[in-house]
Amino acid sequence: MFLVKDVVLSVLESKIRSFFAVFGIIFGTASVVLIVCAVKGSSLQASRVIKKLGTDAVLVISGSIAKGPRFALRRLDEEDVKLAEKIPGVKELSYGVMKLLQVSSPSYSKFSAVFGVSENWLTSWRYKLETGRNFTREDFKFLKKVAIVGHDVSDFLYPNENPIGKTILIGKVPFTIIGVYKRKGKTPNGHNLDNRVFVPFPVFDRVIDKTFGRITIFRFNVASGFDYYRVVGELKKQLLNRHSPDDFTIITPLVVRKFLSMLSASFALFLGLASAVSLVVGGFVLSAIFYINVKVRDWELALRRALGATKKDIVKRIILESFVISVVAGILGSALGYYTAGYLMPALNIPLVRPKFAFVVANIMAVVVCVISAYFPARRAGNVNPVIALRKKV
Amino acid sequence: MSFIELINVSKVYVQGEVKTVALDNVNLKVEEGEFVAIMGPSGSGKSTLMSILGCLDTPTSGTYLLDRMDVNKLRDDEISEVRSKYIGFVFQSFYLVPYLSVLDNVLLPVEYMSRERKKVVFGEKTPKERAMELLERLGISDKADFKPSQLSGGQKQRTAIARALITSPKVILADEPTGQLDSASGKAVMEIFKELNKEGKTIIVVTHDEKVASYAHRIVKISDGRIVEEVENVSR
Repeated sequence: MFLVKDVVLSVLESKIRSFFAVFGIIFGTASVVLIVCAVKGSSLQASRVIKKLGTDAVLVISGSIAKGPRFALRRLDEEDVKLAEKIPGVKELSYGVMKLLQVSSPSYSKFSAVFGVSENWLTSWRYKLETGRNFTREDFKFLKKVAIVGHDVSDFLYPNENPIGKTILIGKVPFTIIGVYKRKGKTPNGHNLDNRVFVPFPVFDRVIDKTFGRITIFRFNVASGFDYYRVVGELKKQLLNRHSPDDFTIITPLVVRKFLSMLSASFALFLGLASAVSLVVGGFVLSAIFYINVKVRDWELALRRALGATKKDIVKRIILESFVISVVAGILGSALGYYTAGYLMPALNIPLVRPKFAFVVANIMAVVVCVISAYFPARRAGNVNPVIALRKKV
Repeated sequence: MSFIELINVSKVYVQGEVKTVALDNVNLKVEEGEFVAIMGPSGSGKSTLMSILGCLDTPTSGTYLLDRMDVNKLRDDEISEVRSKYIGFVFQSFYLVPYLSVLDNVLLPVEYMSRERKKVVFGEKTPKERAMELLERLGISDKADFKPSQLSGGQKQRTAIARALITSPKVILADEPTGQLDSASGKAVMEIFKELNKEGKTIIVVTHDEKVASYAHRIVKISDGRIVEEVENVSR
């Protein structure tokens, strides 16, 4: 107990030195925490996205992967959809076209993403209706101007009212709301899934925006019993017959996982370098500070030798001092990492997770770095010649 | 055989090509319970002699027997144990640890005592009780929670003496113990040594002060690393 008190007091005695020693280690610890949080968060996000998408889903979006697929593009067409439908194993195929438009009620108006969609869009994308009904064959056959909207649309245009049966203007064309779907939140890219309006594709083509048969996106699921990769390969072959590779992007759960893990890997690499650098630099600083510390206090260490301490006692003591510093730095660094994660992860669109082992790993690294850095100064301290050191200070 | 015996002890410092002979064939015997003063001008080798007697330094040649042990043949950790068990140091500039209270400074050597030794020294008491008794005896028990910087020179040296005594060593080695004290507190400190000597402690004082030396049974004069004179002190 006395030893602990003795060590803690001696660390506190040289506050400024200890402060600098702690600094680098704090940043190192914090970035280790951030790395683990980021990697864990991204892999969690990947699983979430895949779960949302469905594990056997295939998405085809206009635009190249290099330039980023865009909803505003319409490089695909109904012919592609028909071809895809003929590939064995393709089921629940749905397609759509999108345009950002002003949507209004008599009192309010706002911009929403308006989709002209195939009949089974909502079921294939797993939208769940909260009130009202889904599209029917008649809606498509008789080109009914009906719309299914998200909560952010209905709540805004018709606050505190039942929106079913109400009329909204899409652009300048009146539509009747026939359904509202349950909240879906945001896409991984941050698009609001609840600010959407769905109308039948033929109606969209006729009264909202002439499509000339061109569409933005289609998706399907691979039926069980069919080879997923063969289906995707066949689709790719067929699409390449009609399009340049720049026209479309095929997104599969594997692509999603690859993309996200690539992101998290580069992020981990960057932060990993940062934390390695700050830990190493912190270690060097700590080492230098301990050299100074040992030098300045050599009379004290010599005194302890005179009072019966062995070399080993002195080495142990210096290492213990660095251990105290590392524990303090580890705790502060963990706290810094914890709070920084709260700001950084949302900014990077990574789900915020703070796994316990992130803190365990970070603190172990802090302790290891501190103890290694203190070892050589400690050895030197142990070899202090008591006679010379005690003669100096008068 | 004497309690402390230096036989043909020499100490040579080599720095580059320059050789400095600090001690030159010194022979010295100190009996248990003696009070010896080592006198000499600065640079005479008395501090080196003190370091060797205190097992802080080893001679270049010669033998140092302490309680029949050949100290030079011990390992470093064994020497540390010998220091802890046999020797209490009192220095000119006190060497109190600034961030520890007076009481904790006195308790400092306990950290480095072996378990068996603690049993022998403290018995049923706790180290803290013994430390408080020593402070009481030296008249500074009211300063136990003070930091060294809050003490006068005399009080600092009393603290250092209490620290030297806590391990119950057989020998007290004092290096100019009154060097930084005014004459009144210097005298008080020497009276403490005298009293401790009467209780059986062996006391070796290094000094160049005649007054300090006058407390000793025997005065060993040293010059240029050699013992030039040994006088029995009859005046005391």
